[in-house]
Amino acid sequence: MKGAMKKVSVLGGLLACCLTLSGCLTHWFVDSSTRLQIENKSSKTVVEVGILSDDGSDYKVWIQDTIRTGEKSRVYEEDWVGTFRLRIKTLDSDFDIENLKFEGGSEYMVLSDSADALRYEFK
Amino acid sequence: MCNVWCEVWDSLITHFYYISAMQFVLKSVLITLTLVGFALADGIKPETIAKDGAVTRDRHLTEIRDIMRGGRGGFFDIGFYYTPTASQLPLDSKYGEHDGFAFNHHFAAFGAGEVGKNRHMGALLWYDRSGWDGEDFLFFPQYNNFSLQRSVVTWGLTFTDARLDWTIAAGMQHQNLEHRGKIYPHEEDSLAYSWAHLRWSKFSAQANFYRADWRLFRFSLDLESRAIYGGKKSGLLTYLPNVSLAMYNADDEADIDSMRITWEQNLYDQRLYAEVSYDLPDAGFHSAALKFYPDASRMIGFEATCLRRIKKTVEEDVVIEEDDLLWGGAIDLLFARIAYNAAYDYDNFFGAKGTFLLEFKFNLASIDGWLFNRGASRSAPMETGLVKPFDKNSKQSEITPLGTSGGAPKTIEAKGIRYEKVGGSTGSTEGGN
Repeated sequence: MKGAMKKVSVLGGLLACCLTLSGCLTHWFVDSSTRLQIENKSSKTVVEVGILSDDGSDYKVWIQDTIRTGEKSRVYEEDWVGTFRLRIKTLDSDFDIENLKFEGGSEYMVLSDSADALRYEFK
Repeated sequence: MCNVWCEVWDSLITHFYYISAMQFVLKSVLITLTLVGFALADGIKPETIAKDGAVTRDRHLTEIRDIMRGGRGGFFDIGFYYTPTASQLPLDSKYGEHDGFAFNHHFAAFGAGEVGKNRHMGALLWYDRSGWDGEDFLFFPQYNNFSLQRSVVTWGLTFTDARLDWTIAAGMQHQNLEHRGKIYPHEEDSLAYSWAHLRWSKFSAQANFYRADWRLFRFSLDLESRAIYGGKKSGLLTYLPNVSLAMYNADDEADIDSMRITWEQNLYDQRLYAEVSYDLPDAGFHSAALKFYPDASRMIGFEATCLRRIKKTVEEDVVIEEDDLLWGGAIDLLFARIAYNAAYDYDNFFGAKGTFLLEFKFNLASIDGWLFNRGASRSAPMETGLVKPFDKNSKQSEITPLGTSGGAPKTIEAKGIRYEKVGGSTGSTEGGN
C-alpha cells in the first residue's frame, strides 16, 4: 500500500511536470500577438485601421499610417489574437470586416477594389 | 566555393521547410483539438475576473473554516487548472473574443504543534495566483493589454485547546494586482484585509475586515458527527446537517449586500452528500450538488451539480432578469479533477463553462497521523501496523546454557566457533582428529 502510494505519487508528479512544461511551451510555436501589415491595391486611400468594439462604442487604433494606392504600411504588433471587428478608414468612408479571426503571428493583408466595397485577402 | 554555399543554402531551405512543416502539423493538431473538444466553450467576461479577488478571499476563509474544525494537525494543498488550447477559455471583451488562458494556481499549508498538554499552536498560509493571460505559463506571463494577474495571500496564527474543544485563529489577507490590462476597472493593491475565526465545538464564526469596514461574516454550525474529530463513525448523529450563513458587504457602507445560506447534508454513510445553497433575501436558489465519495475520507469524489445563473440586462432603463440552470459534474481523482460545467468552477474559476476543465491538484489533511481530504468526516483506510508482542512461551528462542542436561541437541553460534553437545556426554567429539 505504501509502495503503491509512492509509485502513484511519483507518476502523478512526473505527469504533472510534463503537462506543465508542454503547457508552458505552446507559445513557442503559437504566437500570442499579431503583426499586421497592409498592402493597398485598391483605388482608395486608407488613413487608419483599428478594432471596433461589438457595440460600436469604442475603437482602438492599430495602424495609423496613411496608405495610398499601391503602398504598404509598416508592420505593427498588437495583442489582438482572436476574433474581432476590423475597421478600415479611407478618405471617403469606413469599411468594417466582421468576425475577423487573427491566429497570431505575421498577417499580410492585401486590399483591393470590389463592386461597392473593399475586398481583402491574407497572403 | 560556390558548391559549399549552395549546399549550405540547400540545407537551410530544407531546414526551413522542415520547421514550417512541423509548425503546420502542430497547428493542425491544435486546431483539430479545438474544433472537436472546445467548439462550444464560452468566453470569460472581464467583470468576473475583476470580481475574483473577493471570491478568492472568501474561498480561502471557507477552506480555513473546514480545516479549523479540528484546529490541529496539518494541511497541504497545491494545484492548478490546465487548459491546453488558447481557444478553450477565451476572454469575451467588448472588442470580441481574445484567445488565451484563464489560470488559477493555488497553494495552501497549515501546521500546528502541541505547546502544552492538549494545546496546539499553528500557522497557516493560503496563496492563489489567478487571472487571464494571452499565454500559458507557470511563472512568467505575457502581461498583454487584456490580461490580468492577481494574487491573494491569506495568513494567520491559530490556537486550539483540544480538551475544551475551541479554536481561535486570526491573520491578514493581502490582495496584490500584478498586472492589469486596459479593459479592467481600476483596483488598488491592498494589504489591509484582516480576518478572524472563532470556533467553539461545532459552532464557528468568521469575520473579514477591510481597514475598519466589514466585508464578510460567516456563521457555521457543523452539527454532523465526524469520527476524525472524535465523533461517531455511524448512527443518527452523523446525519445532522452542516449549515452556514455568510453575509457579504461589497462596499464601504455598513449594510449587507448579499447573503448566502449553505446546507450540507449527509444522505448515506457519510459517503453521499447533498449540498444546497440559497441567496437571501430575494435572489433565491443558487446551486445544488449531489456528491458521492467512495470512501468517507473524500480522496476520490464524484459530483453532479446544478447552478442557477442570473443574467441582468438593461433595456430602456429597465433591468431585465433572466435565469437558466447550468447542469454539470466533476470527477475528483486525488491528483486530478475533471469537470464540466460544475458549480464550483463556475463560482470560483471566472464562470468557466461549456468546456472540459482539467485541474491538477492534491490536498491532504492530517490529524494525529490520520490522513483525509479537506471536509471529510473519517480518515482514509490505512495499513494497520500491528507490533506483535514478544511470545514468552516460544521454545525456539530460548537458549540453553552449556552443561545443562536434557532436551534435544542444541547449537549455539558465536563468533564462528561451533560447540555441539549431544546427550549428557562431557567429552568433546570434535577436534580429536
